Amino acid sequence: MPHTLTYPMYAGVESPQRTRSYTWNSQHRSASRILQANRRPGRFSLTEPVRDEATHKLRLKVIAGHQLAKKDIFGASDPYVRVDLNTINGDQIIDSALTKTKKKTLNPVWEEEFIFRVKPVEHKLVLQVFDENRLTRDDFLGMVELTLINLPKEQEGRTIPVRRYLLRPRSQRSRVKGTLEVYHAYISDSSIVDNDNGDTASDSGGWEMVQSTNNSPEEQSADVMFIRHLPPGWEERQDANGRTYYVNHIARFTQWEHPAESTTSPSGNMTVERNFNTAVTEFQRRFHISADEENRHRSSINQQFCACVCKDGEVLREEGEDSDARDNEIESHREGGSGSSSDSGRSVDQHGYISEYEDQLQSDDSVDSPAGSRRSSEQIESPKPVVPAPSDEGLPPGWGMQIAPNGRVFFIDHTARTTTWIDPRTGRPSSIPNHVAPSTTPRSDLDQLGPLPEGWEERVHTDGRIFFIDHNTRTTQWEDPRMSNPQIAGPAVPYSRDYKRKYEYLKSQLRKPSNVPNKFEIKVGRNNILEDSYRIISSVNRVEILKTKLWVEFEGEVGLDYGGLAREWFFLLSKEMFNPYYGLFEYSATDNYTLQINPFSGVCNEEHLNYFKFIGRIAGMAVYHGKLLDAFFIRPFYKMMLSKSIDLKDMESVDSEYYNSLLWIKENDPSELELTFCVDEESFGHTSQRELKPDGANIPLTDENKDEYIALVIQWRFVSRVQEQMNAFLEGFNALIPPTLVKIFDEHELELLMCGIQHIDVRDWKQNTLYKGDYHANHIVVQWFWRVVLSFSNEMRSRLLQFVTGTSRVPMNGFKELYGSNGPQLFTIEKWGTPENYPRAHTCFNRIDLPPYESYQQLREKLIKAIEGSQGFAGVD
Amino acid sequence: MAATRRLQKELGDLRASAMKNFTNIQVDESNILTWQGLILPDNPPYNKGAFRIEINFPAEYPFKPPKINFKTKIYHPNVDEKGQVCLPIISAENWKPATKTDQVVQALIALVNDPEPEHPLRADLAEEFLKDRKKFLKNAEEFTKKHAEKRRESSSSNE
Repeated sequence: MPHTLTYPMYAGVESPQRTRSYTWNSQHRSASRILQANRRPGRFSLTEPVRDEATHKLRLKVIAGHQLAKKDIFGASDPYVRVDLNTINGDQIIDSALTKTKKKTLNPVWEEEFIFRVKPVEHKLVLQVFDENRLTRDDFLGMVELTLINLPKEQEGRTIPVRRYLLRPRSQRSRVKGTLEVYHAYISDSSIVDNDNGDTASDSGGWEMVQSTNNSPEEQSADVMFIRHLPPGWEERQDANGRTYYVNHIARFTQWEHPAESTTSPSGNMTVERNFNTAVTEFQRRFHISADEENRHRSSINQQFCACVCKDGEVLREEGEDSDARDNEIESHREGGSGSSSDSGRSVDQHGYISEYEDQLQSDDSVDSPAGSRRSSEQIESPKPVVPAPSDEGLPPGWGMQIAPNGRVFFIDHTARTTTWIDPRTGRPSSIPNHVAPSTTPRSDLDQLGPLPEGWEERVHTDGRIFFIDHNTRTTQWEDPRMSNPQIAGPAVPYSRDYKRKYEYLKSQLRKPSNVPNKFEIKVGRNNILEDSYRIISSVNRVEILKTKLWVEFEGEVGLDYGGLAREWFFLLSKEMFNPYYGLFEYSATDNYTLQINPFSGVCNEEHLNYFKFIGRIAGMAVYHGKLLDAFFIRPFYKMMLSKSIDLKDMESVDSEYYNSLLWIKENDPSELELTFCVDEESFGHTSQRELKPDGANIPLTDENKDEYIALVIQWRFVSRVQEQMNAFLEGFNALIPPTLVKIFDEHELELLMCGIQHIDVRDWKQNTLYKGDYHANHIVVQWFWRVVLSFSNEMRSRLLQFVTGTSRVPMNGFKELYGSNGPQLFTIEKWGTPENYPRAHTCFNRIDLPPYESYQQLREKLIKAIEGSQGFAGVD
Repeated sequence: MAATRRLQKELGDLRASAMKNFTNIQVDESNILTWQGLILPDNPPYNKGAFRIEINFPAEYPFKPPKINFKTKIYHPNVDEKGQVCLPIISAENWKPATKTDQVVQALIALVNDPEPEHPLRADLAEEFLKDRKKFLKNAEEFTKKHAEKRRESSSSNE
């Protein structure tokens, strides 16, 4: 039976390929076509949740990690676990919690206990292990997703074993290994009753945290693996033949034998640690546009554990979760907890060292490069399931296979006229393929936002992509028709789609240079990075050379480029060249941490124009090599790069006070101000006068000439006084990226291209916060506050920051440099009011007045209302 | 010069008008962007002393508002321990280039006379002000006696 009967394919979508790798393969569908065709809503309402709205208290103990992947250069990781309570549908985060970070270990022991209030049918737990980095974005070390059905219940006399789960990747690129040991069980009902009656705070609060109360679980699970610790500086690798060998990165040799655990103390790398400490923390603040998307959806990609309940509430298979866990344990034994499947493609050179520069760049989880952004968008469009495709081969006679509306495979016994999740061939339930289910696709946010327009249908293509059929016009398209409904999709985001296309185009147009050496060596000292880099880059006469592979070495450090050095170089160099301290750039206003060219740069540095040309080259190299600059510039800066004219509106994003005053002049008669066509300029404490036009000092500002005045002020403020510097910058930049190519982007997109998106680092934020009134860092309300911030999306964090400080940007050197209206002023939380009040802000003093709320949930709701009720969020400018 | 011209004019006008509650205006000849003066509030508990304030004008004045700081310590819900004060008339949202310094000073004195405990900078004082006015007045009066400057002859006519 041709599948086109049930799955019409119209022009615009390639016809399905007959691969067998997907659960919804059309072949399988056509096999049981009749059932499919007759399906009516309700007939197989397998995904309907049971009507059990009750919440349960779940005790989760994050006990330990074993043989985690090594991410730090010096042989260990600093792992911590982020626990998210998510909805199964749509992956919305309900709650989050973090464990402490364990330093320098691949076998961390956390022993931390959390209690979540969960709805077993609707929620799941996502545990993600990260390596905390000071310099870079925290590295992903693996994840475990737990559905909450069939978890054991704590009872007196019952011993609940600790479980060990194999860490899973969240994308094709993740390189993970090792296992996570956790304990999870529901707290018995009687205690819930007790709590509900006695403790209103935790009742509505959702969850509470208890520090490790139990350091020795009564019983270790039977499958504890033998763990062998590697000394610092060592790494375990596998060669092309799958043999395990060990690399000593300090002495630079390899051996087959496992190195004996040395007695080196964990603090052996203190100097390194200090180096990292001295470097600023916000390397991780910057990422490319798609990274957010990936983060938001990553947890839906690898749903591993499944257990489901059918429509009448009957649990289809009691031990479903158990058997899955067993599978994983078996698998982890097979893999021996070492290496990862993405290790192929490496080669070992004569020193036993592994060439994986490209590999490292390509597989970096931190998604910092445009290449990364391109990849993740591909992943979103065509997720590749990790689970092998089920096939209907070998089913007993009279049995069929079908796909439930959520994408999960179920089995039909046509003889007995029954359905089941359990595969009759294996006796195991099918997994929930969240990565393929329409309700959890990356655009799940849209799925919760109303039905498709009349006559439209949503379908899943064989390669996993979703497409849309318009039966009215008999056409198909990839784009969700709801996208064009601004009420659903929200205000148009000018870049997201176009930007990716334009970026592809840019990449295709940037040709590799010919007749050049195969790499360009940049050897710099960390303490002298600006001068060293300036000397090296400025002395290059053939710009083509800057387009070759960058080979960065920091003086006095082992010259092994793990792939991140070029990225680090751009980052560290950005910190220097844009640092207002050097006088080349300055903050655009005291309450705005975006950068602008310092019009008086020549006073600080006679060679300033050469420096601007150098900075332009660096910016061009960053774009060419897909790296980011750690800075944000005012909108007019990008507009000047695109030779666009700058208007009053641009002033608003740069300096709101100045803008308001110009707007006042525009809307009122300014003659009473007694201004002339002349402005004051202040440089280094000296005030001087600049005429906006010849003899401007003697031309009074009137209602008649005010438009000319405003235009001249804008021109002076943004263009004429920095024209020389901008020309020098563009000379350097355009040598690598020709102006015609830059101009395919608009000013917003150009910012994304050069600087990525700002990620707000809650850790840095929290570390640089003051408390007033009765509050202190460990006050329960303050703890709730930070949990709420942690659970916020990046956008909500920006909005909160803007609500309190008036700007959504973080200072270049992090929250420690936050400014109030009277100078440096750290973010401050003060106790004020009663739980009925909403939080409120004093933007002059970067202070939020936070009432002593009675629960986490109450705080969260009040805070969100306050933020959303406050007017005028100006976006990410 | 825009700021200088305007400030010289404002200073001249202020001195000529000889306001009773804003006296001893001092401006360093080399830097017209910083003024100091004494405010003399009318209402108890602040009517017993004079409070020194500093007004700092930005170079971009009048495009940007001045900033005000108390140099004299004051026991007031709307002035913090560092002498910072949140005055709506000079906030970024409300500032108009047409606003004159004498209006700013009068707004400040009005705030000192009638605290706004709903928008406090010092929540503890605001609470005391609302819940135990007697105690607040007593504390504020003692604080004023201890820290405020003496009122001069010319201003002693104030009740």
